[in-house]
Amino acid sequence: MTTVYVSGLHSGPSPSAGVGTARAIRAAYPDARIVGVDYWHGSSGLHHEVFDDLWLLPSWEYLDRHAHSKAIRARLDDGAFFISTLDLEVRWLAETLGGHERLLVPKLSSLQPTLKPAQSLTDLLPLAVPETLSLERSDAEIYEFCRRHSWRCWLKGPFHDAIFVADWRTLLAARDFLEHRWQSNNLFLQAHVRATEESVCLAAYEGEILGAIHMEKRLTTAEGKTWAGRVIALPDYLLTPIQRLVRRLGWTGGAEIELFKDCDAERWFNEWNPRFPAWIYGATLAGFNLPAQLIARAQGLPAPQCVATSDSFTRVVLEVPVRLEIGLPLPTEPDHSEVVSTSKYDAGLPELLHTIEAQPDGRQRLRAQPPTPFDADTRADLSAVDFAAIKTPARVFLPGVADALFGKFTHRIVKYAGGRAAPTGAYSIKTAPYPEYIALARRHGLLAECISQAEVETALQGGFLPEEIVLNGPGKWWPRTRTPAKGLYALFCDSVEELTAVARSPGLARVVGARLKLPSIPSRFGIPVDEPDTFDALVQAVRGLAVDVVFGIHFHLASSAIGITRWWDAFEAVLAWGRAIECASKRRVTMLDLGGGWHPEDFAALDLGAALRAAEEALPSLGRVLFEPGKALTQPTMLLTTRILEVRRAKGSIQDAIVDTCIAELPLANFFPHPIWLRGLDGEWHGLGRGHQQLYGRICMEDDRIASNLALPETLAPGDILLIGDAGGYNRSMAYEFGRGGQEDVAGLARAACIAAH
Amino acid sequence: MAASYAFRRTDGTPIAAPTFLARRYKWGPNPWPIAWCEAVRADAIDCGVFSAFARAILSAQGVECYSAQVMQLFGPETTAHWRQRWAGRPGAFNWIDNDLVYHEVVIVASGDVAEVFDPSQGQWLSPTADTGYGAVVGIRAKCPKSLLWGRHTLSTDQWILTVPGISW
Repeated sequence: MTTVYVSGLHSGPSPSAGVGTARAIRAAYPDARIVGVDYWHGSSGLHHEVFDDLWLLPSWEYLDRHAHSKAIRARLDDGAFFISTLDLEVRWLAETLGGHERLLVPKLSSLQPTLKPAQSLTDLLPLAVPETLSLERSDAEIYEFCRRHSWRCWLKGPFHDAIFVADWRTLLAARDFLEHRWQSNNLFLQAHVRATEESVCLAAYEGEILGAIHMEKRLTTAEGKTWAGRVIALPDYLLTPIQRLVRRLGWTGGAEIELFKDCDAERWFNEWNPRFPAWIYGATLAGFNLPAQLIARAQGLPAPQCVATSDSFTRVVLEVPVRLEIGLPLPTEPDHSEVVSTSKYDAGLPELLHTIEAQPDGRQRLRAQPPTPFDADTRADLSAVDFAAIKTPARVFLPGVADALFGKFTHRIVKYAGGRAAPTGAYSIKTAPYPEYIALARRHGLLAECISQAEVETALQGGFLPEEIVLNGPGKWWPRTRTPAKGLYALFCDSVEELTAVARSPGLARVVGARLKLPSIPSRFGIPVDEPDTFDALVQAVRGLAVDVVFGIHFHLASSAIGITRWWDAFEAVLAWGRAIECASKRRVTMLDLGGGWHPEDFAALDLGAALRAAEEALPSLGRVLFEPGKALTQPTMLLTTRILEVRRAKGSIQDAIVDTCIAELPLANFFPHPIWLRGLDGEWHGLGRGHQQLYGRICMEDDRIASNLALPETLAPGDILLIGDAGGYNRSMAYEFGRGGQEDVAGLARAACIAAH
Repeated sequence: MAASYAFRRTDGTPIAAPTFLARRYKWGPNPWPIAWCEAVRADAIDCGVFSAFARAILSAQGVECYSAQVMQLFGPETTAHWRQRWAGRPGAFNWIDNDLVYHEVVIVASGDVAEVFDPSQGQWLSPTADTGYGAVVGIRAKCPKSLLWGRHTLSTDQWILTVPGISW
């Protein structure tokens, strides 16, 4: 009689494959003795009738792995087979017992190339590959990756878990959670693919494919797990390369290749799982009994017959009686501090990973990945500051860096001039409404973009003329104590009501336009063009504009929040809607205003020429395009200098440090990564790389965390000086006065002029 | 410490077991005897230390509680691994039989009724859970009076079998 041990019996919403594998074997071999193996008393599959016997072991945390491997070997030597459906157990078995003829899992050499993200496999497969990035890279690279992929990324664990991350704060929280859960830094980001999900499943023995199928997921759980699907034989165009790959890997056992099928029907590789999937019995119902084929081949027997009852399967929820000899775990006492949940990870799998990766006490050491050294402009600016005597915290303006940034922008504007639509640069007053920036904007020939009458006043006081001002936003007439400025360069309305009112007030601006709110990108701003009634009203309002008024449209979505590719998608949509407004209103769109929200690196890489060509092509009467880079012009032009107040240690190692600045002075501290440098005794600046320590601010707010996951040197001491990068832009203009005891704004941090490196 | 972990007084329950202990400390071997100052600093503590901690916390809250021991049935496939883990630890208490293990718990008395708390797992033991993995097959209370635990009457320092025919 054939005896088969099958491990991984958890059968919850995110099930292991043991029950399905056992049911498939039972379907082909009714007389086989099937023993279920698990490491957690709560695995519900323990109670399934398919198992003749059970081998319930303590969790991996308390398992004596040497004794366990000996016990498995004894069973294998005694003629039994062992099929594991637990990824980590598969790897452990490959390490400890790999090569045993009745151990039906891949060898370690087969497994290594399949470890996530397993991108080397795709050289041999006709599949596209989503881009991935190891989380060992610097925070700046991680942030860039997410922006580039429009904040549609998955943060994936070393073997299990994937968390969708849509912004930097979510990413920080997900990284903390997964690093803590798995006690591993071996995480990576994977770009999201807009696609339906499919799987390839195969059984192989010593590199020979015994059977392979293709499953199209039709229904999935909230966790993305298969609930129902359709199964067919694997098409040749996939089978042939997979056969080649399996042969090269010398694979033995089950495997699942998770795929995406995108909107163009292109298939993408997601991941390779080194075991049968949990839905494997569904394939048996469709006439493909891969576990039985594996057992047969391992015994040198012909594959058993398998009759299809349907080409599709679905799951149903069933109650089964609990085995008396196993019973149920007792409930855990509910507690305030955490929501109790149970999963297959309760079997101590993180502990097993910890052992496999042979980490010494605690987590692995991270590669430092410090921020890049200061460039020449920054070094020159910093050389003018006496850091030994500086009163901290203080914001340091970098005049050379700022001048170079503004200069590069105007140079690019000039470079792309000459076409039908003239590019023009604009400076957003709200990003930094301070004299030094306004002077730079004027000197470099930019317009002033304002969102209130107060900002208009600031621009006028700074030397701008009304005809050099662009007025935007939902509250542009605030405060009403002032007579609204007239004769502006351009004015873009945020609602149909405003546009109608402006149309009745001649002389406000040479250009009058509308800010458009696009479908599918949530925003509280602009006129929703996809609402037919609103679109009609917009068209009527545009028709009501005086004939000597130039009509324009305004588009403002922060690319740093929605990402680059989505920004371009939105830009193309705006052009299409502009054309629709032209057609309906018989008024030409003559000006296009492209709003800010750019990360400095992204704006530097933005193809202004491509944007101009696309706009000219879509809007035949377009005469001008305003580029307003927003924070890209100001964010990198200031540093925040702060001193260490206290260094906190536990068990002899540095844990975190308190600094004399806070989130009131760096309000976006946790919205994007900030590079940080430590001043050495020699006066040189040394970038702080990735690590496990935190920098906390001085005020009494729980979220006053200035930086996380830093490698603070053990020599760090109170009084040491740090420089925090990207402290300009909104980090200055949105700073607030909390925590200063009502004293005068310390060192001009919040609103007044800062310490400047003049 | 217990109050700050458990916030007993915020939810109005008369007795709140120190479930935080099972999250704060791992279960594992420690040498005996062990001093309080060593125990609180340990990463892993055994059920005897868990029980001592729990009784100290409950007593400080004015709860009438006593030490108790249970015999639990786990089977040799499990006990073999625990035996291996505890083997060779100097001073570690021998608590493992072939199928059965000896386990320190806490009895909370409410009038003449006993509730049995397992601080190592952070859960209350049920007098009806006398079959299956981890079944309680025997209990001995170190209390000065008789208490009812389900259908069982616990007497001072006497082993009460919850399952007939069990012996060790």
